[in-house]
Amino acid sequence: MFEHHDAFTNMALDEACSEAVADGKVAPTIRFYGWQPSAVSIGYHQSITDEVDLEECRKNEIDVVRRRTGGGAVYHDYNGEITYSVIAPEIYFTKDIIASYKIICGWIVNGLKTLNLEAEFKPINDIIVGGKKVSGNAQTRRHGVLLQHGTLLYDLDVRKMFSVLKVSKEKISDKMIASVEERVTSLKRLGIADKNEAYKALVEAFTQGKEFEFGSWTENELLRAKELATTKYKTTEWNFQR
Amino acid sequence: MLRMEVELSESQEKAKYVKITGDFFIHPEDSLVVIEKTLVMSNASEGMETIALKIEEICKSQGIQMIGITPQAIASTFFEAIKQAKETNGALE
Repeated sequence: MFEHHDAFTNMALDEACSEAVADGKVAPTIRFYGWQPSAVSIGYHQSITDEVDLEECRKNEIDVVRRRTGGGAVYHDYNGEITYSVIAPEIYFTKDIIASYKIICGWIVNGLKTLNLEAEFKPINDIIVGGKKVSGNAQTRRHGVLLQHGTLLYDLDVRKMFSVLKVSKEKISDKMIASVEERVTSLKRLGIADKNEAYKALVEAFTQGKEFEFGSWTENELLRAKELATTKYKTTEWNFQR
Repeated sequence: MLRMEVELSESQEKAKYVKITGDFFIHPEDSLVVIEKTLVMSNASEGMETIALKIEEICKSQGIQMIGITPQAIASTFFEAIKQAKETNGALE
């Protein structure tokens, strides 16, 4: 089931699930989700004040959260993307991080191929279609568990994205927007009008060749996620640590 | 993108505080603190190459993997940050 959560719960669920996988309490997990309300996530090493227009986010009721993974700031539009997480023991994958990106991103590439899109993995962690980025991904490995999450862009509103990320407002010119639109694309622009169709293609591709069942969160995962959302992901200490 | 904030020590050749931020990847993530500590313990007079080597050795010995940044880029940004901090301090005096 495709779930929508707020940014803090989404990050907390990833961590609660990682802990449960580390403790052997749940099987390796793949989840697909969205962000409600829309949100900005920043990379683990980024400075929130350098990257995000916090005032603009507050005005527009957009959540801001620090991820456990590195990489850059991402605007997650409520309607604009499909996000996934893969949470599994590290030993299921190669130690070579870029090679493991290639494996998991390969599942997205395969999903896009079933939608008749000629997608390819672009190292380090992107997926492109027709030379334009359609998916960004980030990975961490902690306590023997690999967590990779990433987004598949369904729709793209560059102006909105720039309004919440710290780009000089004077610089948000039509030329700059055109330049981003030359480098980034979305499923909608590639002719995939049905988000659900894309979701189904991803589920199919991510599970291909694997024994799996559609599950739900355990009570412990939900309780732990609630705790982590409150005591970690919503806190100033976490989000403003850099 | 790699940003570095430094606070100079009395001698102006060392940093008593270093904060590195950016959109890179370091595995394990918390080893960035180790890199920052290494820079705090370094003296600018050691030279950029020596400091880059120091970071490289720490990465090797502690199994730290960097993606999107290199020890050389960190050392070079450190020198630039020290230089800028000296200029700012000079301008304030």
